[in-house]
Amino acid sequence: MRITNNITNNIALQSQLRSSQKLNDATQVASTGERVNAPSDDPVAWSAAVSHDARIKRMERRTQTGERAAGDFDLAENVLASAGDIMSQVQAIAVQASNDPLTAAQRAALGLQVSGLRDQIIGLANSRGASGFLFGGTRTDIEPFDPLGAFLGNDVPTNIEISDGVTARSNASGARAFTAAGGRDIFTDLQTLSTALAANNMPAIRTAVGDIAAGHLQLVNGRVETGLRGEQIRSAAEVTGNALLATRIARGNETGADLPSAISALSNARASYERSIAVTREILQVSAVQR
Amino acid sequence: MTSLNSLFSIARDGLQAQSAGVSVTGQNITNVNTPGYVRRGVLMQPRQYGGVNVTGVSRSFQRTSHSRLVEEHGRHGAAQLRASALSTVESIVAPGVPTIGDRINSFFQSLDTLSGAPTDRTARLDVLQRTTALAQQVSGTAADLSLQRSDLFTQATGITAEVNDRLTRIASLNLAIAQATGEGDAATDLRDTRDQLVLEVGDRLGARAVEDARGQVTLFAAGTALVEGGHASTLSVSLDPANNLLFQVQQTGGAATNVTSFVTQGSLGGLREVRDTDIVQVQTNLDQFAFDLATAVNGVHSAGFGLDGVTGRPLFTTSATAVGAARALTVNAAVAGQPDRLAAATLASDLPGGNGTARLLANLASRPLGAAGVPPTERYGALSGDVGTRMAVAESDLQLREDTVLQAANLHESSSGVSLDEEMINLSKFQRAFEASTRVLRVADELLDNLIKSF
Repeated sequence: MRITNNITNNIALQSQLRSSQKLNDATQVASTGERVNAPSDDPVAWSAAVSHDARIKRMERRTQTGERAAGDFDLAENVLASAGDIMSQVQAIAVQASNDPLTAAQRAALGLQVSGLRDQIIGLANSRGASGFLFGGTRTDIEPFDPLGAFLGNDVPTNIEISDGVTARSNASGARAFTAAGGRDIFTDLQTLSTALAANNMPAIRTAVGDIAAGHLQLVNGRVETGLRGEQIRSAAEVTGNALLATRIARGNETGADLPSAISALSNARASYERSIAVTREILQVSAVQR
Repeated sequence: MTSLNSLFSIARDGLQAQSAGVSVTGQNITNVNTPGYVRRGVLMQPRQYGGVNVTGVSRSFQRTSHSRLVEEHGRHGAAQLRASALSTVESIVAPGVPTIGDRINSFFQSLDTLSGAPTDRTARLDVLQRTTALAQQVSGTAADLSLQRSDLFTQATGITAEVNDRLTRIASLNLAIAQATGEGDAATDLRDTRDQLVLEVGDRLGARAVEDARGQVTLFAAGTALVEGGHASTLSVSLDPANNLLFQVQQTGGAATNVTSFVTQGSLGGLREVRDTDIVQVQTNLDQFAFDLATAVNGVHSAGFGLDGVTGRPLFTTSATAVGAARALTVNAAVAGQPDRLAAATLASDLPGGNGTARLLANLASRPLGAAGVPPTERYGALSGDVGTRMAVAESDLQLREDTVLQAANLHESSSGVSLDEEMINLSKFQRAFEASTRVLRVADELLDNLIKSF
């Protein structure tokens, strides 16, 4: 084959362009740490990366939402613990009033004390969490209990997804903790006791002792249930967190560049580019024109 | 028998012939980088009684290698334009950050946050902002794809004008070459220009040229003869009712012929494929995706209740069918800017803290979307992956075409190209011969001088 200057130039030019392209590709991989920077780099890996990203985001969302709900459950558990403590005090007062030889004035004073403790529990039952009032069901916009202890909320559960297709309740039940839906209407019982103490009504006081004890147990049960629900969500969030880590690793394996290989490829591409320039220079110098 | 006088004639012929050789060599050297230039050679013939006659200038042209080069240019032109245009499509569908996939993830993330805090105004505003961002990105992507199709049509119009310009010039050159050939002129320069124009038509449309005895070429392209002798047809491009390219050939005095299906080579062939096949498929996928997404989200959202107790509001507005759904995707005007109108509760009685609808909306992230059977982000992954596959195939094809066109160019160059090394040797050869002819002249002169002095 007859070789002309343009043949030599064409080959040198194409070789130069290819080397330059390879150097550019290797630089991009090494600088970004990603083997796949555009769909055409590896369409299958790109699609897989998009799926991984979606899963990662879903898991992140679940974790965040779960943590938020678990935080509210923690708060609700603390509130119910405090309410339980107050109920213990009320229970002690009721027992004392039913057994000790107290005067009517002393019982009336205890009645006032019970009334105050009742107000404290109402205040606790109207606590707010990250998502509004903790014990109002879905009526998170208004205080679930009015000053007299009447329940204005509902017992509608809100749920969150804790794993694929699995949901868990994300709000505490104020109805079952404080109202007759749980067995005893605590605020009515407290009001009854307070009224009985004020009236020095011994039969009513003795009856109230049992009701207060049942109410206390109801609060304890509510606290346990709330704690378990929070723990369930937190456990699920922990499992999701582990899966998240595994998915991130899988995502990295799918599209990420092996750094030592990327640096080595870059080094090779640079050497190849430099060699290509040197060879081109040499080729273009070899000519009878210079002789 | 040679006389002393004829020695002068021989020397003169030699000087003239070697000068012609130097002249042709110089022309070759000057045109070493001229596109389409075919190397020349001086044709010499000995005279009957000594001396040399320059009979003409040869043109080292091989029609076979040129035809292959034209053919390969047609394929290369198609591959190059398709790869270039698909690169733009890829950057539209999968820009750096954020992609539609990122927007989808953000959208569902905001809904998940809303499901955990249905009364939180900030969470509601966040949902609206991310919904708007998603709709804008989908709509913007569709608009960019439409714009690219418009740009490609404009580009096709420009290339078609270039093709017509070359067809006209080839026809004119055909006439000039036939006339020159008839007058005994090889018309080498005209042939160079004409064959270069044939190559340029090949690059744009794919072509095949057949040369007749008079040196005229008949140029076949787009399934028809576009140049016959001195007559050139006119290629036109317009849009058909389906918004696809319509190529027609108007022959002198004849009716326009639809040649669209034959435009498969050259940059116009590549442009047609990417514009009316690749981008259309991407648009269809995007439209179907937008329609399915809007339908799924609206179905859930419309069943839920806003904080104002109103139900039945879709979250997205788009077209009634999948056609044009991506371009038309917006946030429902009744909800835009009204965070309280976002439906998070399933029942009016659940208001305001009910999160059933918000949760169902958030769960759409992992539910199959439409008939495709994969969740929204994965649908985007498949859509952009399809673009990536097309781009990867086009790049691979381009690389192959670069190699084959280089091979064809080198083959043609091997027979027709100028080698400076050769020309340097030829230059020396003609220079030496010229010097020797001068010497012959001097010797003849001395002989004549001696002869005159002897009397």
